[in-house]
Amino acid sequence: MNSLLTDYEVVVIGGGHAGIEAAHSAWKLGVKTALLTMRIEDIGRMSCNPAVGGVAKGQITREIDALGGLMGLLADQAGIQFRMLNQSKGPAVWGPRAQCDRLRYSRLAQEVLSSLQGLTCIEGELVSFSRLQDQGFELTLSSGERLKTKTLVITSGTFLASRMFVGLESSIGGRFGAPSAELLSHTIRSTGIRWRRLKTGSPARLDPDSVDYHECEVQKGDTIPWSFSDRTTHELNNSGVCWITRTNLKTHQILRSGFKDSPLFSGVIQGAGPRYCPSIEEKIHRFGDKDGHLLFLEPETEDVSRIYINGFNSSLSAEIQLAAIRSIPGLTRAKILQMGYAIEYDTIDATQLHPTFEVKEYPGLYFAGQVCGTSGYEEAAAQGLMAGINAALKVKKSPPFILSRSESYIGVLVDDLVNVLLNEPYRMFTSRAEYRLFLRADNAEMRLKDKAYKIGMISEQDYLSWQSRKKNFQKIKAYIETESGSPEQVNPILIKSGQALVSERVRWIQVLRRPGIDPEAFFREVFPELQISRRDIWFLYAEEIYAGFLERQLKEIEHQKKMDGFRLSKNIDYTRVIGMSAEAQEKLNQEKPLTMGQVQRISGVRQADITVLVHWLETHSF
Amino acid sequence: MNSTIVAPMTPSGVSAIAAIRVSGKAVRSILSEALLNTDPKPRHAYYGDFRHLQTKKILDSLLYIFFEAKHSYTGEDVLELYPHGNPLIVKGIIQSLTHLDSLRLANPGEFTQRAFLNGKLDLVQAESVADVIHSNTLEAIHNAQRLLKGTLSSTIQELAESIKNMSMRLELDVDFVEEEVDPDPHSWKPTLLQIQRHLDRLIQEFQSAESTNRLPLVVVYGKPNAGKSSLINALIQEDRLLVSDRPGTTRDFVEVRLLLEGGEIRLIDTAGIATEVADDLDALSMQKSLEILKEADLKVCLIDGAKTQDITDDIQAAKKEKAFPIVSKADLLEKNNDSILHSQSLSFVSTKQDTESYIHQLKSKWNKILFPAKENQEDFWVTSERQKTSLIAAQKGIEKTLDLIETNPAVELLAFEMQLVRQELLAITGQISSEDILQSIFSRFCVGK
Repeated sequence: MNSLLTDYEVVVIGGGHAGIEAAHSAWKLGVKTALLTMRIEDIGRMSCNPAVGGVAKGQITREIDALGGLMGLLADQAGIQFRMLNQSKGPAVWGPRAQCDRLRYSRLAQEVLSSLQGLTCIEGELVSFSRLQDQGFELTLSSGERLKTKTLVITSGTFLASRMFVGLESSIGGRFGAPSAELLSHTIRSTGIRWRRLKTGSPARLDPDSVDYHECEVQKGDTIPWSFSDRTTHELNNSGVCWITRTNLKTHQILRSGFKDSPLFSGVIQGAGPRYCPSIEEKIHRFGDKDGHLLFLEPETEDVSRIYINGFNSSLSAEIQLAAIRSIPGLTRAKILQMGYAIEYDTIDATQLHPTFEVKEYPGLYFAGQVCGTSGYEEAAAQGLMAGINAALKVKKSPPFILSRSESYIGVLVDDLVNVLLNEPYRMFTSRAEYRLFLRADNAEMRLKDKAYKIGMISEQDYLSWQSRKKNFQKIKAYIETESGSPEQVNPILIKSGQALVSERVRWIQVLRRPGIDPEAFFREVFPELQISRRDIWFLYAEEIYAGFLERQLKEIEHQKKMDGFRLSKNIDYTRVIGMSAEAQEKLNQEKPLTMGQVQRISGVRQADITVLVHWLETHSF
Repeated sequence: MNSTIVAPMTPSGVSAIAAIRVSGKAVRSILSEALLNTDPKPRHAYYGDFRHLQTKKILDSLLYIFFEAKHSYTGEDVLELYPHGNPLIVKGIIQSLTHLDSLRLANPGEFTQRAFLNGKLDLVQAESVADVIHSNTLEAIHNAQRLLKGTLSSTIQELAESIKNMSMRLELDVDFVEEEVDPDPHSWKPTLLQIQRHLDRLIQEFQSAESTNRLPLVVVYGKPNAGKSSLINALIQEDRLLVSDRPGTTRDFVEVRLLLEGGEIRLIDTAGIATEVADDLDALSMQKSLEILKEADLKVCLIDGAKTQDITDDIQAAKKEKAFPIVSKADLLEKNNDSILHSQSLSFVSTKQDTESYIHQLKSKWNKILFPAKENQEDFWVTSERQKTSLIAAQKGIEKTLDLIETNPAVELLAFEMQLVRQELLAITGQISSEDILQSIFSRFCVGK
């Protein structure tokens, strides 16, 4: 056996959205990395909906990009329709989203990974791993091949002991047409790591020629599309179209008639499914009084090879699904190419992880992505990125890279995951973020890029162009903050936006701040000579309109930072903290939090416990 | 919290029975060594002899109760002793105990602090314990006890819940683009106004709670020898003040506490306010009298009924000062003054005739003035500065929210305001807290709770 091939510093298991980012970031930080996947051609698969981004998810994608990850670039290249969601609301809650050609996305991901010099992609199935004496793990593949690695990052998605359901028929598999990782599941369960079953679902895919599109409402991309990455320079493909239709009472009646054979309602599926992304049968069951539910027909590829029915995921029997679909306007003669199904799979209890994604009891072993109980490509990719970075940093004996809740959605995601026991798959929402007005898509680079550069995630070239963007931006900001316009210059703009006119010179920034001003038109008309990108215009604008609100949260953010910066030793035996409730002692001994900020968010730990702990720490030095 | 703490629970002074509380690990050894009870049944009253821990001499025969940690006030083992109310006995018992190395006198508020740290009380409850101790009126005691039972917490939580029900719709609108939510904040105005009124009332109640926690002050003034001291003596029914017929006996203030139906009051007897000042000392004491009069919640002007001139002017002068006029020496009243007195239905007093029924009437009149009945006493809830600060912030937040709604704002901004309001409300129930809050709460407790 080739010894060069078998000795790694980071091995990533799985080629999904988490695995891609994990392998890429570990590679980027210069450690010897391998990615092990059951099928190389499945790397970067969009197993469910053919889209990246959305509200909160789009912010995460931009953060991944700002941290040097791949998802934003891949989605920009594979995108066929780009929409900024929530544009009727303020820029803080805008969510960039791209409908993607799923085959192109997957192909691009494979191309990128294979182009990374020194990254090894191995096709194979991990069946077991054992800890080596001198730290690290020995991995055994189903082929019998063995690998050695210092750290192991498991991003197995829905593939651990997974069962798929269509009606009462079940089959073993991690995705439609793909096997389940049965032996790896067994290995993980036998380590003593706590696990639980979760459930998710996917809707039927239709033959595009069987859809009557004229019966549906057309949904197009934005007139001027937004990219995810500021590194994207090519013109975005924005030609894709989606269609909107709606279920009706007849559909609901048909679905109800199939409830008796539902694996969900009959209790065959034990795992908890996401309440925010219910199957169509759960929607009818819970909100039966609604006369219809919106459905989005989304093309899976640019040439519309299949249609994905967003909003209709189901695990009812095949004939019920077909009959129900055919009761929907536009779908009366629909042909199903792939049935909707539910999938139940092993996830690990992520409260066993440090915020670096390392298992507390298993130094060197990391879990990231859907296996940690999340749903969504973006949530998975964010974890993969952070786990890959931290595994590499551990190999390099560098301090961990942890983002706080007050600086990123990724920080919120990680903090929630490792501190709060989930009772359903976790998806990001903007309302999970305390500092939502600050965690915007428009300032992701400003929040994170310099940090990412410091640990080596940003190439020199990208950093230089970021620096020049930043400099230009600051110059323009300073200009409109200091320069003023005459009433003759300012009033035409104010008239257009229905604002009261001025009679004296007024600083440009004050004009921009007025409600009803279109910032793009403002810059186009007032400063046609300024080289400012649309991205920067909105960033500048958002900074201005939210400034007053953010100021009021600053104290809280500072307090939070202080708590996050209050480091706790892993060696504290919390049962020695007299006066703390037994529940809190037990929880803290189990969780071994790294910071006081983390303590605050562990369920079962009350404010009184924290007071006792602070008091105890003052009198006991650690 | 390793040491065991002890403190008397009753004020020093002679009484029939006193009470001492001990909390901590040493309780069981005290039971076995001082009371020879090695296996006390928890929460049972025992009668026994308390022996000095070193000399083994019996200090007192007393009643005592042992509370095991699980069911005690502090969440530690607690021993409560009820010796006879002789300060020497109380002192002796405590001194005998503090000989133990692990035992010391409790700091102010320490029993309650331990109860809080051991999770026996939440923050609101801990604060209201302080208020029970500090409260001087029946109303305030009532108020604090309601808090102890968590009524304020549940009211605040209801308000926070109501805010949540609205902001929930905003969150839904932001996070679920496809849901066709279209929240209509304009339609929330009645609910928001209702919350605002609720907060207004709580804040107002806070302010009146503040004034009830300060004892109402009644200041008696009048010309020298008008009979001020006699009046006060009659009120407190004991000869605490020196009463003489010579003008100017009361040079400095004499302050007494008086219990009216609604609560305790401070009653101050000023030096007489003479028209002519005899000496510098008189001048100084008169100056002081005028100052204390400014602070009075009720000024009582005593008019000498025995003087021969018409007292109409005196009565008018008192009324102009918004003082409560009392005519003294009613038994010596001149005929003309008698009719004035009756026509104006003024209070009058004679320490020679029918004092008891007169004093009773007077007290009930004062009670009405000093403790006016509140329309809705049940809502009388908010008592601490921290809660008030949060209530005011929440109220301001509601105002901002209402203003914002008028401008048809972006949903995320409205959501932001409403989130802050909710946070302020939840801070009241102690869900958000910080060390300095705790420090200020605990520093308010008097000795041993």
